[in-house]
Amino acid sequence: MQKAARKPMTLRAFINHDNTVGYLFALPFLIGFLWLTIYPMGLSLYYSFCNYKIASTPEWIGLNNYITLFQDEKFGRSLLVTIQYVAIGVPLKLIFALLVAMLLTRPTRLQGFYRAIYYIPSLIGGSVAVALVWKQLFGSRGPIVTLIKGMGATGFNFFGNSTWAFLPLVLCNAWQFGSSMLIFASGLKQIPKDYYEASEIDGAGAVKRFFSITLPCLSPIILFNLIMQLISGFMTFTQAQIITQGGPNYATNYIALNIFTEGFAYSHMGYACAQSWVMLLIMAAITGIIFKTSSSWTFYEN
Amino acid sequence: MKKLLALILAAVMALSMVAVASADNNVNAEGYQFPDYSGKKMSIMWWGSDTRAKMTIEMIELYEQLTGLDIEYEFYDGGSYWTQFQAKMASDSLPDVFQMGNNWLTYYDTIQPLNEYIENGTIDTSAISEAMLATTKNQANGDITGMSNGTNARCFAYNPAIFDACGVAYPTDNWTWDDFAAACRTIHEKTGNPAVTTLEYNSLAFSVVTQWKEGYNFYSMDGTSFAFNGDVEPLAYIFDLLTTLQKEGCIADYGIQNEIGTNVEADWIAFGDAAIMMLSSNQFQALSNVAKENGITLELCTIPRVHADGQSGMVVRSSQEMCIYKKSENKEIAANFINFFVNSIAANKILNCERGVSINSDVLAALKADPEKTDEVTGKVYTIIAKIGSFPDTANSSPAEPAANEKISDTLKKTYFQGLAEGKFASAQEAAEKFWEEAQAIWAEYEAQ
Repeated sequence: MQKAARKPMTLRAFINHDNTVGYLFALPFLIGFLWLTIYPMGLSLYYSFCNYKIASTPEWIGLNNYITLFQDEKFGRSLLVTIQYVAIGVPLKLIFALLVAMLLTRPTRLQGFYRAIYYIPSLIGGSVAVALVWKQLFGSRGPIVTLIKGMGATGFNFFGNSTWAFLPLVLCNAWQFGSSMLIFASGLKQIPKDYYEASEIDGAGAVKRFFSITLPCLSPIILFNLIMQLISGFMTFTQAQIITQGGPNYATNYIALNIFTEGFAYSHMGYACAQSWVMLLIMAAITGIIFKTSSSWTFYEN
Repeated sequence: MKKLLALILAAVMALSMVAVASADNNVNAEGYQFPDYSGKKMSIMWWGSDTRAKMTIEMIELYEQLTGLDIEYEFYDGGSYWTQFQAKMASDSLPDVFQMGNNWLTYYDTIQPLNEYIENGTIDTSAISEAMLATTKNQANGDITGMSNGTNARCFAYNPAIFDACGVAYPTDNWTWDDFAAACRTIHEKTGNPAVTTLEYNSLAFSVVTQWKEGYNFYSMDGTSFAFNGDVEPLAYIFDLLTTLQKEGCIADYGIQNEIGTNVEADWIAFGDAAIMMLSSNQFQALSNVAKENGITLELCTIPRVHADGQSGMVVRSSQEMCIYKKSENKEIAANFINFFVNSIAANKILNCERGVSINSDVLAALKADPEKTDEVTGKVYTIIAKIGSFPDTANSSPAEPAANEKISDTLKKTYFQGLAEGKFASAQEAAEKFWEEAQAIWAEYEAQ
């Protein structure tokens, strides 16, 4: 069989070719991604090996930043409190999301309305305005502390106490469960009703049904939500900066805030970049571990 | 004959114009002609309270009317200003004129020295003394980094009504830390509220070093090195005193201090819920405005001393300055604006020394003579500045803020003061020793940069 001679494509054919059209539509994203994400990331990697004060030229110092990093107590503390925040906050958020999603699977008349109401916090929750409101709410003269004082714990102040300062921040994060809830809600809809009917016939109670049917069927969604919320949890900045500014004695000095302070307040931009890359590696490692172990607990129906 | 007369008259007119052009740029002189900047733009940024923003905008509009210049302004609160500044610095887009503090060493690359504008008369310094000019001069190379917006000093404000109600004597000019502690305890006991809200821990610690013994200072006078000799006793003393008072509830805890933040108008003293707080003298106007709305009158007093007959540890320094951006394309316009800002009596009647006591003696005299401008509140500020300036030892207190100061001060407050309050150190002595070690390590970091 003879190979057909390949004619060079005409311009018209080129423009209409599937590949070209695909790239063209992807172009805005590609440009943005390369220019605003990959290029700054590359620069940040370069700066992490340099001594860089903003507005002066970076000078190469090799691995010094990374070596300092491992000896830096503040960075270590920062990492610990971030992990504490994520370890408490993310499960809390997902549990709320799942609970509310399950409550809203019952088709009531106001179902759409409730879903919208619960979704709103996740839209506005990360904003400065809400952080300020939260600061007042949990502040030393706010309603919550007044309530606690009324119950007998005089002299209690969330933000003055390094053991408790993280709680309002965790709650602010957990309050924004709306987006996870919607994803859970759609996942719940996809669970075949036959499973539930079959289990009812077999006499399974509600709790058994939940743990044996709902959770396993939802496990891919749980995996997705877990990863997404972990990543966004590790990057918490606004609440820490606005509400506690790193908290009494660095109790709420999350990694993102620490990087910001080192880079912008202390002009150690190179060091801040090194911290960012270490944070990236840690998050990648945690995500990798979750993915690796996921095959043992996620159940894909197909 | 007529032709000769015309020629002579023309020559005289030309000569007189030359004479006017080379005279100093005295904006207060009768018949002063403002330069015509119509169609031109200038940008400026500053930090401060709402009160300051209103006054500055009014003054900017006055200048716009007088010169036809179009001024773009932006202002921020004390905290976010520096983040914005750094971001603009990184993108080479700082405004033509910006407000700068005593930390100009850190941002030296962005500042245009003003020496040439002073020498050629664009910025008129005829009513500004050498000593005042020196407050913003880089001692190492003689560069004038900016025109000082005025002088101020850190001091305490107190509510005499609460002192009376609790039967505590008012602070005197040389009251000691023991007096302070006793007053706090009594007031806390009788009112149930904390006696003190805001304190600037780092400058208190540094002042206590200066107060401890003659010749002691934390930073050297020109800010190029430490003057601290390693005797951590003064640091341990103040760590212990303030932390103990805080544990007893006499000083508001860090949560409350953080809520107030840098917003002096939100301080509890203005609402009657505290009796003492620390501020810079020029912030007193804004604070008093809020206090007045709540029917409270405040007074200023000195920082407590270690020894009643010892050093005051206080210093009168430049509060802030206006600088010209090194990469500005409108430096001439900026210099003229700064000249107006610092020297014009009309402008300063609007600004009314809210940023600091004016360094221009004519302006200060005019403001003091005007009963509308110098009311009780501003009068108190002038009094305390004059008083502190008259202490013989203020010449020994270093006003310097070297590049490493930001991180050292932050660490002092967050790791050591707050850490001690949380029990992270066995004793104040240990905390002081560890702090001195860390301060030296931080300095070495900055030297290496």
